[in-house]
Amino acid sequence: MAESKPAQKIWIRSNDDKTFEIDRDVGERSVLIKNLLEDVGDADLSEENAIPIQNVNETVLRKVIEWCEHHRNDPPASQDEESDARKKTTEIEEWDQKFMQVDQEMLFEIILAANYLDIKALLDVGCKTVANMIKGKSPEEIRKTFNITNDFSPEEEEQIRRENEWAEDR
Amino acid sequence: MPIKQKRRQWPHIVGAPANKSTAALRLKTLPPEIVHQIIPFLDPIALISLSQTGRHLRRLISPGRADFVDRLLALECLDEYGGSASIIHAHICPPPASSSAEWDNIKWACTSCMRLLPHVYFDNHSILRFGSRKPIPGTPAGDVTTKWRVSLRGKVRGSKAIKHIPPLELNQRRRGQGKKDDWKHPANVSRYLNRLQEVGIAIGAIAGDGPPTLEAKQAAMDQVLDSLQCHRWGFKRYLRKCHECRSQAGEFNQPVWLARVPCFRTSRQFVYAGALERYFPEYWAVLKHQRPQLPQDRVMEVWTTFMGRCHICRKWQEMRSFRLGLTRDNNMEFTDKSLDDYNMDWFDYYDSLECNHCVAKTQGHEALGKILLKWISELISEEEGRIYRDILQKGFEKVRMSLFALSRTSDTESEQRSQLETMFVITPETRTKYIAKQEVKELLTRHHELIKTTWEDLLSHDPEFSSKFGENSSETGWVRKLAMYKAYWVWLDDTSRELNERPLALVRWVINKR
Repeated sequence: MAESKPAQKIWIRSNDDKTFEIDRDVGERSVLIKNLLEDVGDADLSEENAIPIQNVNETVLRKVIEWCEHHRNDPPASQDEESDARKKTTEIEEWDQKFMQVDQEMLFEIILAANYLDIKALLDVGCKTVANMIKGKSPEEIRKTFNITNDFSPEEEEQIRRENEWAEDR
Repeated sequence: MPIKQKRRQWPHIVGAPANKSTAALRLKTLPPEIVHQIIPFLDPIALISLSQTGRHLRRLISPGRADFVDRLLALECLDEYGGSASIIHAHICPPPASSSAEWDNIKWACTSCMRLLPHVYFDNHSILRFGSRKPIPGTPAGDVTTKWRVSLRGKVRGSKAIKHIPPLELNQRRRGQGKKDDWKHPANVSRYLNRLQEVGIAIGAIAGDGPPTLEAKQAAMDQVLDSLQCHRWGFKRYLRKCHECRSQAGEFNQPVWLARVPCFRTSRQFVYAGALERYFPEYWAVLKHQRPQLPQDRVMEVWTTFMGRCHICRKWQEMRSFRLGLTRDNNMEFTDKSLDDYNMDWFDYYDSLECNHCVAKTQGHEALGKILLKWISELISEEEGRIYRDILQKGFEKVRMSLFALSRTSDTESEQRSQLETMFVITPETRTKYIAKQEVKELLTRHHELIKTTWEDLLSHDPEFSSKFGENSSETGWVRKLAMYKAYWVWLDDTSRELNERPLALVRWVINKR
């Protein structure tokens, strides 16, 4: 019986100098890391020479790794960025929903990290979560949710009022 | 001795965004490219709401007309704004009665004036054809994700829009002409279905004879319908315009002489039991005498309705509101003014048209009541004539002929048969005599109970009679429906009398009906 080969390890380092040891296939959920590994080769992989993730701190990187570990066996995402199937559904898997139950700042950090590390699926989950927070809300409710200041001038307010005349009787 | 290789360093990642201060990280401070990733997951309503929160997001989204159209089309599908459209979600649904409150509460989007408006503002095609219908929520056609894309700002419509049309429709467009004889071709099935949809005729009525079988056609149509319902309903909604916008855009080819009232536009088709119901639908709601059951053999007719705009109140209303009556062949049958008396021609007449509401305001309720009473009295009289000609006279003469034929061939003497023959005026002199309206009325009001009892007695006790007039004979059917005819005939009389006594009830009805 063939013995299963132990997973190859790689090391990544957050911008606050915390090094994480992860399985290579987990790390390769990130296109950025995958390309780096392909470019640099395996010879230089070591804990001392960890891959620097310059824009992500320890807390966020830990979350991203948690997501990548859970989704390590997912089929590779479609290369077609404008794929209708991807854009059309805003449904989020149950595990991902729980994963995204974090404060807003952390949510945006995860989105930024996913964008930086080029993890499309995680970026989509983050964007869908934000989209779902916006849906069904009035502009005022969205302002409250995301702490946005209404900085429209009276003229702009008038323009917006006209845009919302659809319900008025003719 | 191996050569010691210099350890390679990980390259600096070019293009990485500058490290942001996490303390200030909010939706507003996210890089535009991230917000651009979030927006496509929004629905059109949320997209516009987000753009109305603050200057930064407004600049970033920069919503265009297409986005506002998409929002309006999404809003019309919400029960809260567009009303419940469940009554038009069935495959083949007869159009609801014009007075249906449920129908009146549904609103559709006009993508020109950007309003949600009730059905009176649109023609049949704009709201009932498959391409213009509200899609069913939850089906692919009902998907309401915004079409907003950074690369398509302002270009979603037009040439780009064609890319969103699934192959079925493209095939229809490209090959529809060459497939005229193929009834299974979606273009043809759609055409049939559109017609059916408008008039509410049962699907079997157009299937006709000969192969393929009716069942096969129905199954094929059901299949096409399911597909249309899921994927195609509403794909042309963004082209929907109300009468007013079409009129102002010159789409009605309005003659110059119709200066004030835009020409009447063909609107929805309804099934009515004659002109009385078409021009005064359910007017009996305001009377003491409610309409009894309509005789089953009263032929229902498809009537086209027409919408016009009153030049005073500017409301679009059905032609009946202008006291204009047409026949089913669209010939003028009733107008509220005699053109000779007023020394005017048709051009002037059309220009002077005012809706009931405005006439009541300017000339008073009594003047309006007088003209409405004249009109409805003509229609009631016409309806009486029609019931007499089409149902009573024909039935009466058929029964009389059959009874006469039986009396000639039979040797049986029967008091009850003689009684019947007397009631049906059967003598050698009268058997071919044309029966007058008054005689039919007499028969209905005085003798119908006796006729029915005698007939039933003969059916159960007289074998010769029952073999000629069995349970399924048209004569027996007619006799059994005499009570229904009588009730309807008497009701027409009663309603006419009541309206003469209380013409203002009719005025209240037309004013409330607008």
